[in-house]
Amino acid sequence: MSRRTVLTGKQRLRILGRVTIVTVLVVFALFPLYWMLNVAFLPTSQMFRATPRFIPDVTRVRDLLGVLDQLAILRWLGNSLVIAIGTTAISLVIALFASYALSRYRFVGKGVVGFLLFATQMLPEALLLVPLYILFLGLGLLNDLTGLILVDTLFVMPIAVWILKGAIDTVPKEIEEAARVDGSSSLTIQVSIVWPLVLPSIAASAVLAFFFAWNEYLVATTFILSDEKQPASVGLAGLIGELTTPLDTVMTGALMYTIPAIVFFLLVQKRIVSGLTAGSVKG
Amino acid sequence: MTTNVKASRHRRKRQLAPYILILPAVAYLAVFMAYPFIKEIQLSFSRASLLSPNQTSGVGLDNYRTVLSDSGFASSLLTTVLYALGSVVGALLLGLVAALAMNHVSHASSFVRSAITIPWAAPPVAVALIFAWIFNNQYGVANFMLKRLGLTDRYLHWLDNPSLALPAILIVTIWMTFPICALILLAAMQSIATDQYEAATIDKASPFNRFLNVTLPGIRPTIYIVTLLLSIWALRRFDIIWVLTQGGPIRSTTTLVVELYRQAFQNRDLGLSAAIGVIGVALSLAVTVVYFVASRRAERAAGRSA
Repeated sequence: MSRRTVLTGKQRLRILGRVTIVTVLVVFALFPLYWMLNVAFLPTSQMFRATPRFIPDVTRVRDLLGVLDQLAILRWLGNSLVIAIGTTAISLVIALFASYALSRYRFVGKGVVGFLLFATQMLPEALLLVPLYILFLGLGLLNDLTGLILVDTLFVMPIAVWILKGAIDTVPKEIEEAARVDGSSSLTIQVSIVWPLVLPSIAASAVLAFFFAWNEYLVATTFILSDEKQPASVGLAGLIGELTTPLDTVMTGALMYTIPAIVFFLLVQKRIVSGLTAGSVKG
Repeated sequence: MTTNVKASRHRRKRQLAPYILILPAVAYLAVFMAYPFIKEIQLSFSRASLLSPNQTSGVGLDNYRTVLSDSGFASSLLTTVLYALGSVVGALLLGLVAALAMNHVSHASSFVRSAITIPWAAPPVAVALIFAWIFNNQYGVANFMLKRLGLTDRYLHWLDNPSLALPAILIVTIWMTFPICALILLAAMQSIATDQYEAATIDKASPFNRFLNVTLPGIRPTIYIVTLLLSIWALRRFDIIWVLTQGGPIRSTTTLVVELYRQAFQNRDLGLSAAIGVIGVALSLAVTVVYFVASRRAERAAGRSA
C-alpha cells in the first residue's frame, strides 16, 4: 500500500481518465430515470418549453398523489404483483427438483432434457404466442392472470434450473453421504442440507423470475382483454400516444412501476451477481 | 435375505428418483413448449385466421412461398440482423469499458456498481415511455442537449424518421443491456489471478499490452457467453420496439418478431405468421451452431498458442 503513496504524473492522468469514464457512465445510466422523476414532477405548463426544466418541482407531491385516483395504477401494480409472485413460486418449485436431478443423477434422457431447457431460451415468446393463444382459448385461460403465470414460468423456469444446477454442482457429495449413513431419505437430504447451501442461487433465481414476470408485456397485452386484469406493463403502454392523460400523470405511473423494481433490485443485487456468475464465469 | 430385499428396494427407489424429480419440468415443457411448437410448425403449412383459429386447411408450402417472395420479409430480416449486431457490439463494448473502469476504481465501487446496474432493473415499458419523451422532436431533452453541445443545428426527428428510429431504439437497448454485461465481465476480471498482473508489471508491460495479454484472454470465455446472451435477447426483443415505434416508420424498425406478431394479431393470418416464425427459428438455430463451432475452434486455437 505504502508503495503507492507517490504517484507519477502519468499515473495520476490515468486515474483521472478512469474516474471520468466512470462518471460519464454513471450519468448515462441514471439520467433517463432521473428524467422520469423530473417529468413526473413537472407542471403541464412547463412541459412544452424550448428549454426544459432540469430540477423537479417537489412542491407538486400533493398533486401527484391525485394520480392514484386518476389512473388505475394501484390495480395494475396489484395484478403485476400477483403474476410475479405466482411465476416465482411455480418456477422455483419445479426448478429446485429438476436441478437436483440434473446435478446428482445419471439417467436416460438427461441430454434431451438439457436440450429442451436450452431450447426455450432460443425460442422468442412471440413464436409460441399463437399456439398458446389457441391452447388457452380452449382451456378458458385467456384473459386470466393464471394463464400469464403459466407462460412466464415457461420462459423463466429453465433459467432457474440452469442457475441452480450450477450451484448444486459445487456442493460436495460427501456432505450428503454423511447424512445418508445417518438414515435420512434423499428428499430430506435435498431439502434440509442441499437447499440451504445454495440459498444465494435460489435467491438469484427468484429475483430473475420475479423481474421477468413483473416486466412482461407481450403475452400480457395479447392475452388480457379486460381492463381490470391488466398488469402495469399493459396499462402504462396503453397511455402512450393517447392524449387524454397528461404526461406528468403518465410519468408518475411509470415511476411507481419502476421504483419498486429498483428498490428490490438494490436489496438483492449482490446475490444476483454471485448467483448468475457462479455458473457462467467459473464454468 | 431381508437386507437383500431392502437393498434392492432402496436401489430401485434410487433409480426412480431422478425421473420423479425431473417429471414436473418435463411435463411442463411438453405441454407449454413442445406441443405449441409442433402446432406452430403445423400452422405454417395451413391457412388459419385468428378469428377462428381451430378451422385450418392445409396449403402445403404456400405460406413459405409467400413469405420468401415478399420484399417486406427480406427487409425485416435485414433489420433484425442490424438490430442484433448493433445491440451486441454496443452493449459489449460499453460493458467492457465500464467493467475495466470499475475494476480499477476501487473506492466507492459499491455505489458506482449499483448506479451503473440500475437500468437493468427498470421495466422495459417504463423505459420506453421515458425514452419516447426524451426523443420527442420538439421538447425532447436529447435534441436540446445535442444542440447545446453544437452537434446539430436543428432539432432531429428521432422516432418518426426512418433513418434514425432504429439507432434510437439501439440506444435504448444498449442502455438497458450494457449494465449486466459490465457486471458479468467485471466478475470475470476479478477472478483473474493477481500474480498474472504482477508478472506483467515486472515485465514493464503497458496498460494496453496488459489488457491484451492478461485481461482479454482471461475473460474470453465470458465474452463468448455474454455475446450469446445478448444475441438471444436481441432476437427475442419485442416490448420496447413495439411501444416506441410499433415497427415503423415505414417498417424501419420491424424485426422478425414484430413482423410475426403483426401478421398474427393485426392481419390475423396465422399461417403466414407461423411461416415467418419457423424460418426465423431455423436461422437463429443456424447462427447458434456456427457460434458453438466457432467458439470451440477459437478456444482450441487459444489453448494451442498458450
